[in-house]
Amino acid sequence: MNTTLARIGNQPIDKLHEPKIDQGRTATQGSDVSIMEKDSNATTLSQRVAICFAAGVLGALAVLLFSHVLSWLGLGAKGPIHFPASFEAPGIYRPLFWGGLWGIPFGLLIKTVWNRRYLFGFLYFLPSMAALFLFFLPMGGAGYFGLKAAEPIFPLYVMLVNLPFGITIALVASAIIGRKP
Amino acid sequence: MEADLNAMKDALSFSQRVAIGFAAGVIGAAAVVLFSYVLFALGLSGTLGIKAPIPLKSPDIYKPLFWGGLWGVLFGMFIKTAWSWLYLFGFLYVLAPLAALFLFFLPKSGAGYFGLNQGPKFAFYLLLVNLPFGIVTALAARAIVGRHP
Repeated sequence: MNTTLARIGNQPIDKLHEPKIDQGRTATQGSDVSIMEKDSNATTLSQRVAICFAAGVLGALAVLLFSHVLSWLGLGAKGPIHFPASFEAPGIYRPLFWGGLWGIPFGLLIKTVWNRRYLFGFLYFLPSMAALFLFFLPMGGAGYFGLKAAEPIFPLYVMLVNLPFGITIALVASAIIGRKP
Repeated sequence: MEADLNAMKDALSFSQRVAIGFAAGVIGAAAVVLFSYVLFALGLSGTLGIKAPIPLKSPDIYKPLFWGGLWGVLFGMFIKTAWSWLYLFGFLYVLAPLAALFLFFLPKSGAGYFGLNQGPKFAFYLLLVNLPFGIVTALAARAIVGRHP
């Protein structure tokens, strides 16, 4: 009590209620709260990768469902990959798991592309298509774009089937992550 | 104020914990697959009448990994409740998929309850090989979640 009085007593009257001091304190406290809020809501890289792994599985599930929708609409193309994809075990697990694996790079990049995540997501089916057309299909003997064993429309059809992949990942990841990546 | 701070400590939402549980479950299942090779290399699988470890070839490998993820989803739902004793919970969590295996999947496939139509050694092997699942899932989830679920 005495100390407080003494300190107040040592201060010039005009400094005791100096608004700048209060403003400064308020601003600092606000900044602290802002940082705490940001930290409490933000996800770590490993969390984003794990979330996007799960989102990738759902993206692959969307592709499987979409292949059935296209088939139901009478759209199809003959080639080294059979469409619509089977929902039976053990065939169903492979595309779902690979969807999850493709979700991992998405998770690595999602923070960087957060402001345009839906555009990025929409285009994100292209890397997996590139891997399929330029690596997996040639490795399986179907040639680049699978054209050795398919009709010319096949690559376009595969791209159409896979179209929902990236955007589904973006939507699911965005829904799970929330407002701040 | 303390309540507010505690609320702020809840860094992850329910859906985030579930998604992380899925990924952790896949890692837990991968640990089971690897452990089957360890048991095989140690000769324990042979002693228990198992001729081969879990195949690493496609498409067989994807099934256990995916199911591990699905069991991880359930783990993720409870991770916040069990956070204080996460590793004990994780260690015991293997009992959930084992119960499903022993009481549903094995009888459905004709192997009988606990797979006892294949002999008691088979049931023991299944128990042993699946042992790392829950604890590895818990460790992976803990590493991903961080300090506050």
